[in-house]
Amino acid sequence: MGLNESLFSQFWIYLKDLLQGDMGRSFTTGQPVTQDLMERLPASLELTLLGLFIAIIVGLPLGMLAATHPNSWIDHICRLLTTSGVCLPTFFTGLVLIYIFYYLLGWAPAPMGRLDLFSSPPQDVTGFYLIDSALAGEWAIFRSALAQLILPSITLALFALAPLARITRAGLLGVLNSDFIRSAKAAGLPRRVILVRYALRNSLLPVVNTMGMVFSYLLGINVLVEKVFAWPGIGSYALEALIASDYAPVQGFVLSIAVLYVLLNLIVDLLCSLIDPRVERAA
Amino acid sequence: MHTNLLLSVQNLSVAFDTRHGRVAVLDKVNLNLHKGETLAIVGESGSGKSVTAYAALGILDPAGKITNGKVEFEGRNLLELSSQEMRKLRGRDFAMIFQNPRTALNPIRKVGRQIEDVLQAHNPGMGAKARKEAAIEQLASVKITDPTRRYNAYPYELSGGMCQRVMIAIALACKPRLLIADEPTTGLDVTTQVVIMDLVHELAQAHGMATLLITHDLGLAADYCSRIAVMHAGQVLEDAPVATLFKGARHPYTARLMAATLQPGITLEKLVSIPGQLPDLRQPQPSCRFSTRCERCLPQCKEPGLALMPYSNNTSHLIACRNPL
Repeated sequence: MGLNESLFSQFWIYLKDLLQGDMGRSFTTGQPVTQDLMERLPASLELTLLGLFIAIIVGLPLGMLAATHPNSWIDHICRLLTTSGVCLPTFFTGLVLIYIFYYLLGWAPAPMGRLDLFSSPPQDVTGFYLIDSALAGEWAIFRSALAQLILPSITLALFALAPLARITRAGLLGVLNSDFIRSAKAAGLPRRVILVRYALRNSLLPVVNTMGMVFSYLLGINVLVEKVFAWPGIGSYALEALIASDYAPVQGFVLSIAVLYVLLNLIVDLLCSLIDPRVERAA
Repeated sequence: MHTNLLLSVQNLSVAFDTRHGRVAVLDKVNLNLHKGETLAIVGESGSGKSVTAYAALGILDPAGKITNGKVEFEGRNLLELSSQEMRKLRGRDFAMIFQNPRTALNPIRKVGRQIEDVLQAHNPGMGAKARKEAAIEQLASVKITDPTRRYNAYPYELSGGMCQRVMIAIALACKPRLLIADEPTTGLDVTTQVVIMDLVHELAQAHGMATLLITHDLGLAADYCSRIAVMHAGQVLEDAPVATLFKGARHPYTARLMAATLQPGITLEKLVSIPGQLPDLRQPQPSCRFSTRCERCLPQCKEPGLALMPYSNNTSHLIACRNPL
């Protein structure tokens, strides 16, 4: 590693190794960081994507309903959820959910990783336990993995839901007041067509942008949530390395999050140009 | 005469609920439009021209409530119809075009598809291929060159005049019997204005379609319409054939409006502006809402009971004034 060399040479060595996919070796696990990260990344991604998925399927309709029924009870529920989602720190919501659903009610399994003690991981295809167990037809493992996923992903979803629902509501409300919605009404288009084909698609652009932003927040938030739920992902890996002053994993973690972030923004931009033809032209 | 009546607005009053309380925007508006006729509603901004049209079509903002009156289309009271029945009439029996055509079109949908959307809404049985052909034909009918290529254009790729042509194509897609044009030339340059108005006029003549032109331009109204209704602060003050109105306007407001309109032979210095502003409708209003700006105002002008009446027994010239010129 050249620790006796000058800082510049050390950095040069680091860069050369990096180009070959070598992020150094962890002191605590004794394994190459790249291998550690690759083993743990699917666990983090599975959790984050499921959290985002729940946030989207709850947040978008909630925002839409709130926009089409302003000041109704659904609008108030939306406001309550988004405000509390923003205000409560995720490790706290995570602890509260564990306290209620595991300790008090006993509905959820112990927050101890991706599977309960009696299950073994499914055959590795994608690294996502839900997909792998479904592919292998091992429904007992699927159920176990899902049960373990529910609380942490809801914790993440509660956090991600707030900006999504709020932006959807605001965007749709703005579009519904615009001139072309008025002309669509004057032309006698059915309400459903106006709402979906005209209003929703036009308000989707800020929503997709927010989705990208929320996903990157989630990658950061993951560090705490994974710790609370003893999730064997890259977040808890980085946190443990940080406490042990094990710098290579931390570097690797930061770098891989940055790469994920860039990829994500690329996907968001591509999606935007699909939705709005004007974006493509401007680029 | 009455069998020819297409649209009849009777004593229509509309109020908006705002945070400053209820604002009585329209006060007993009366309008009659016969088949194939062209009527202009003229007035300052905020005089309730557009609100009258929106209320008649049932596309009023949810804050606006119709508090009184009737809107009859071929004898059916539109205000009694369900929103679903109204939706089916809009676009098929009466259609509307708007000002600022660029923003009045869906910015991220191909213009051809937007025409198809209207065709689909009113002819559910129409096949996809027939619909596309009809949309292209519709683009050709508003004199858009190369309609097959323009079918795939987005509104931002077209000029303002082109966008207004597309709006007209959308409005006329189902051959309505009434077209409401709400300041269709606002936001277009002067030469385009004439072209668009000529196009509207020509298509209306070809289809025997009645036109209701909403404008603040008295000259434009005179050029393209047979009759003019003058509105001020939510009241119709005078309603007469163009020739009658220009020869002998009887309402002080109409006369003022004409003195403020540019005409050949009149220099800018000779134009006289109308004193005062539109009254603040949040405050209780006198019976004649123009009385506070009127130099011919008499004490009885403030008393209730003002109505649109024939002037000296001429049933085609209606006026709402107690002290006409």
